[in-house]
Amino acid sequence: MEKKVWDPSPPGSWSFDPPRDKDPVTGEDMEKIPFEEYCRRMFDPDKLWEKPEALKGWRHISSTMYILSPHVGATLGEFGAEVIKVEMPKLGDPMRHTSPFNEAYLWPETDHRPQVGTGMGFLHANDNKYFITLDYHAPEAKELYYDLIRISDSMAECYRPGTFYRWGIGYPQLKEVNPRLIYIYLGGFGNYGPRRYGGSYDILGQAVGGLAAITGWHEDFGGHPTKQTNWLIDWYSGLTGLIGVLAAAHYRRKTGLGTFIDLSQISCSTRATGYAFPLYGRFGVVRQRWGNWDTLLSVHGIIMTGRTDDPEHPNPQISVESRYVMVSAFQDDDFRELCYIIGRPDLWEKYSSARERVKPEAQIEIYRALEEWASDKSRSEVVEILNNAGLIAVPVFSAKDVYECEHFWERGTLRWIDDPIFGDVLVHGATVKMSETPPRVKWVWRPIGADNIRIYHELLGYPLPKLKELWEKGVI
Amino acid sequence: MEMVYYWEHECGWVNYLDPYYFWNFEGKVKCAGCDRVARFKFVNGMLLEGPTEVDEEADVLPLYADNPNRGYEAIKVGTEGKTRPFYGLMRDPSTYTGKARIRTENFRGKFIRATPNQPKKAGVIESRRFAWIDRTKSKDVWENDDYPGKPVYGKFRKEE
Amino acid sequence: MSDEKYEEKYVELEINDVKDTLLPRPWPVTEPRKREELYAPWVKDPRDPDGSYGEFVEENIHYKKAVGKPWALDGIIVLDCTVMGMAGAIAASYLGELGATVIKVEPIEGDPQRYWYPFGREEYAFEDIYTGEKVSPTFIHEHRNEYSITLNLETEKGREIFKRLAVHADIILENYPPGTFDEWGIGYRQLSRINPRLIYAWFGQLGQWGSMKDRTSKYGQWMLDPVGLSASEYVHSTGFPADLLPREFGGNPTRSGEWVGDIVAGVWGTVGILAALYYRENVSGRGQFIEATSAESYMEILDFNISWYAYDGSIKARIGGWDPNLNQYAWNPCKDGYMMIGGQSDRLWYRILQVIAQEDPEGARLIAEDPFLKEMAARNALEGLIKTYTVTAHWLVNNTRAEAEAKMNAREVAAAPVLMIDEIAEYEHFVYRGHVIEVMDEHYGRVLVSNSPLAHQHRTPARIKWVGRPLGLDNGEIFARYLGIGPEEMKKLAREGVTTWYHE
Repeated sequence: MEKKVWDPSPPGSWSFDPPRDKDPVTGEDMEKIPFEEYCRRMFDPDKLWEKPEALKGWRHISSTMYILSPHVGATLGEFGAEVIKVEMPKLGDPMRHTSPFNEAYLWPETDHRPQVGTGMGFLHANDNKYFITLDYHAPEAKELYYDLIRISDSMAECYRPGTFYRWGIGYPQLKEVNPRLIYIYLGGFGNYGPRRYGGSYDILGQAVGGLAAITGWHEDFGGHPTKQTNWLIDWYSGLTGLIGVLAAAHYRRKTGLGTFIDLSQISCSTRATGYAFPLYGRFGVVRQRWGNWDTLLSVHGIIMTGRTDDPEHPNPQISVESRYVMVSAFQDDDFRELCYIIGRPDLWEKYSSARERVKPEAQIEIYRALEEWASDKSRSEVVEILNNAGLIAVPVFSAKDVYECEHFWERGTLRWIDDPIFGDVLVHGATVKMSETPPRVKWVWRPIGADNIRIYHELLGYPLPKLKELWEKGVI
Repeated sequence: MEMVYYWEHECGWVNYLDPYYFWNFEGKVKCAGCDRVARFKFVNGMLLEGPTEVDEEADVLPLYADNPNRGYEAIKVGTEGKTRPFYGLMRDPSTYTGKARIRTENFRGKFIRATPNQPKKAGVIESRRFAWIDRTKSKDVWENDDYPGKPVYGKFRKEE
Repeated sequence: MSDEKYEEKYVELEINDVKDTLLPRPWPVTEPRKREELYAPWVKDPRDPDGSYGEFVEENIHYKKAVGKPWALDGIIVLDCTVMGMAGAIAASYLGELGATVIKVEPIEGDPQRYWYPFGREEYAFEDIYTGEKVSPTFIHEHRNEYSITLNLETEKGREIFKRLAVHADIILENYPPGTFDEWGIGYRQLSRINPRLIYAWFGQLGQWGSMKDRTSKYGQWMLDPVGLSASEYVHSTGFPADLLPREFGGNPTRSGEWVGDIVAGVWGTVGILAALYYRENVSGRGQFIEATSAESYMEILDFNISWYAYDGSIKARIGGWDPNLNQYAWNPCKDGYMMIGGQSDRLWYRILQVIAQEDPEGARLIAEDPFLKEMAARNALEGLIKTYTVTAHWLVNNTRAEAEAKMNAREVAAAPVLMIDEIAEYEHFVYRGHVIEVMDEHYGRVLVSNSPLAHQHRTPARIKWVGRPLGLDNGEIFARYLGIGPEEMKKLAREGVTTWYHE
């Protein structure tokens, strides 16, 4: 008689169990399929919602404004945490009414622009969150906040140092309420130091931190330091703060203790300056801006070509501006090929070693020759010629080019979300690819105080009459 | 103070010479209001040679001009013959108004909510959670001139 | 120890030639004020009336109190196989600063980053005190707390050794062109059989799969940083528009001065790695395959740019030092540099006007009376931006950065100058907080580096232990500890070209 052995979980049967031997659908041996196909299956964007979330069970309170600090919460939410964002009643987060050139808004609104809506500036830093309101100035707020903190893992804030402490909800008090709490303060100048009370914005971080000193055209060419698109430092420092939070979670597993993280976004800007500080400290040399070219490698920069692909288009961004190409040929063989293509073999004779090529005079000569060659061609022609020769050249994409590029849609970087309140919105967040617990954007944002009932009544268990009383007093 | 980044011409129009372009500049600029040309020389932002009237063609036009005497009537960016065009805009410059746009359809034609919540009979998905928004912030509340919480710009906000 | 080599003399430098820049100098030139002097106002400051919060913070969070505190990622072993690109180095540096053991696996000649000097100037090399081995400042700055071993992964034997090393590793970072490690038999699918707890992260520019995936050139050159940035719309929206600044002077889309795409991809990758670590420890016991690309990591950071295109077809344009979303929020040229003034809210807008009105009542009147600018969101319109910043620049031309800053800060408006690198290194707040610190490295002497942003924590702050590492220094130690290979066998392997061994 055959003895049937009951196997509750044959290998490869769970949808998120990485199929090690055989693909459960097609039965192929996973070891044998080509690598690209393997990656496609591991990171399949269609299977995103079948996979579990990394930070299951985590709760984060986000008492934040603008971009720097809400971003920590939004990313935690993308990885699966439950994030509760606390805003001031009626006013909300001031970021709600920023929109580029005062143009694009989505409903619902703030009190500042009632008929207009919440601006696009609020996107991506505030997805996947529950929005409640709480006025910290009110005396009842402290107890409410303690109740929230007791059931959370982490908390972020961005007010001036000492403000939360005065309100009774600073780190020294909260660590008594919940010793497991990871408290992260994100600000411009940090929580201590001579200038700790200086307010700070992203652009201040860029200016004071060092990125402005190295970005833009060189002074000798008549250039000025330029700001990096939108708000680089806000976003990237938020991520750095998140590294601290997750590392603290790892430490907490051993000891059960939370911690306080003081993150200054200017420090993140300074961290991104590359070799500038060792050079200054040892040799006193101050690093300058160098435009679109590279200081370590040559040829590795962005050149302007003669025409755009579509000069008749009504949108000037397409008809006038889309004509830049990034060319990268810094190894000797590639550079030689490039010189022959543009018809300047003398450049190859002159600059055959990488050290020679990277000197400023050499770079000026080489790039001018490149731009001269490209000045009668359009962007796609240049890219085609160089790619056909086997070199690396990538056009500088505008938003339209990115939208039309198949690559990002295939990989799930750009996604349409059918948001329950707003309808069809394009999001491009949660872009790191993970094979088992990918991050995802669930919804875009909600009105001020939309989840007051859900959190206060359904999560914390406050009775509805109490909520009504708090609402009347203006606490929530 | 002799710097003239905003150039107040005798005709009453103020021409704005944007700082980055004119930081190191030597040439002739035309007044947008009255079409007279003057010569400037800026070095590192400092005005070395003041506006001297000349009778030649202008090298460059200002980017924007307005007139305080006429209630700040403005000559917008890109007006033919008076101000420079600004190609760094994000779409067809003629559609650019500077006012907020409220759309109900996105680029690929699907529904996007940019107006207040609709009543149930409109057939659009509604949610119990947001019913209180309807009661406090629906269109008929906002359409009045004076609604609770309306801010007054330029003065201290009334506490309520 | 090395005082004879690097003398502490402050030399009056007159720079006429590159050679004049090669003399070492002390840092900082001006010492920051003492703590007692700085915090005397604590008691009087209304924001912290009794000084108790400040005292708590100083006692527990100050970076100098971090000596001896425990490490957050203690016991985690990271194998960093990235070469050339900076993404892996950034990820490894964050993990290493938080306490993980990071082992950098380099090819026999070393990571090419060791030999990339700014503008090719080898005079800017840092020399190992013991052996005189030269290394470039880029390598020193990005690689911290890393052990270095040499292992030739192109040989069969090298790959075998790598597999034995991967058994111990928790995290592996690599950035070779897609499929390279897989071909060599040490990709994720092979290694996860040996070690299912392995978290494997790949860094790159465009991706390992897809119609535009990472590729090498005909001659084998890799795709490095600004490629990802160009493909992700970042370059298109950074820089001055040609209308504000003629193209010859820089009115072009500009890339960032440093390889920011790699930095952001490194940080995003680290976030993914730590999330996977959390999931492994608390839920599944298994590792994952993680992919972090520059183009896509940057796309998250572009907040609404592409969503805006999907909203109504508007393509985000660049606008130089200004910001199209908020007013005032820009830097403008001033008497001795550039000054940034930020005042997003209505209240601050009028405060800025008050400051300008003190010296330039005409200009302030032009702005204050204009009915168009009364509405807060209308100030973001193009006309609003031009008018505001023109008048602001008019005021700024007469003020140095320090003066403008003092006047603005007196009204609580956030204003700050654009600082050059030397000014940042000397700025009191940063020296006090240690944004820029001097590391006394055993091999390279005194090195000025920018500190980790996570250095200010209560329990497990991030610290830099050493910077850079001579090539292959830890061969003996790592091979003996994890692989059981002693000197005799290493000499044999060195002869076969699998690794290097110095002492014959």
